[in-house]
Amino acid sequence: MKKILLILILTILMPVSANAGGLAIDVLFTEKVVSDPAVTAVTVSGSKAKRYRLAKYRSVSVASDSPIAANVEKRVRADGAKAASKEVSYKKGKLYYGFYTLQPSSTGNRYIVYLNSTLTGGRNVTLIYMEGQASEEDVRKLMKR
Amino acid sequence: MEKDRLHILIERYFDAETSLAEEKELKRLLADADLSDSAVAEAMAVTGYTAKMSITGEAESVTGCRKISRLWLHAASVVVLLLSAAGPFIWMGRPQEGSGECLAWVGGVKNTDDAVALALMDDQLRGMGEASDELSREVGLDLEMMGNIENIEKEGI
Repeated sequence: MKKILLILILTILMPVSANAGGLAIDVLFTEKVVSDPAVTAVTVSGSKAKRYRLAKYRSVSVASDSPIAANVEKRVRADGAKAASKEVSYKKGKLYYGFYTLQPSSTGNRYIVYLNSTLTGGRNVTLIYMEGQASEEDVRKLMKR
Repeated sequence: MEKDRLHILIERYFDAETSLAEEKELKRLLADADLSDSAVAEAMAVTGYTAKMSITGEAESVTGCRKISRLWLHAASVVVLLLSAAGPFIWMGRPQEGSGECLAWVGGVKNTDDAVALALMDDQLRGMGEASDELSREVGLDLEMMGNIENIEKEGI
């Protein structure tokens, strides 16, 4: 009986601990952030995302004068440090553009794309998170449609 | 005294060591036993099952299989427990294709119009594509410049 209980506890804890290794950017997609007036956020999943070979598309675009903007770069850099591959560009000592291919998860491939357009005269800091079966090439094609 | 004898018989019964005479004695003792005793309740449940089997004339074969039956019962319990514990997590890990969502938040207002969300998505992706192209051009220019410097140095030598 003790063995059964042990197996049961380990089974419950395993997925929980796997989820504990979430992304630093996850908090940016919570309702508290996306409902902020300075934020434009998009969530696409299910059949609408499937046409892009994605299971999930999430984004936040934040006005540069919002305190959230600085938080976005910090969190992207934290997740980017653990990425399997990356393509980044800095301007004026700040992260300008970043394309990060993360380690795949049980839901498929995962990508983070970041752009700070304020460094080239724009007004927003934009972060996109995508996960699904789409390859890196598929995602790049999506960006160049 | 009878209670001690009952527990001995229950233990022997679950270890498949009881004779037919002892099993008859066990059933007799169980008939008057205290049901709040967990060992008695378990024995009642299992002997009730074998008693039903005896109606079909299979009681003798049950004794030899009792250990295996209990093992199967345990195994089935473990499988059910594991499925009930892991099921929600397995379900959560599946891509939720049918129950997807398509929504946008603009200026603190939630918009559930698919067209708005998809238009924003396209716009954002296009913006990223332009930045990626710009980066590729910069890398190309850097490499070209390095190549030119290398050529100048070679010519200089």
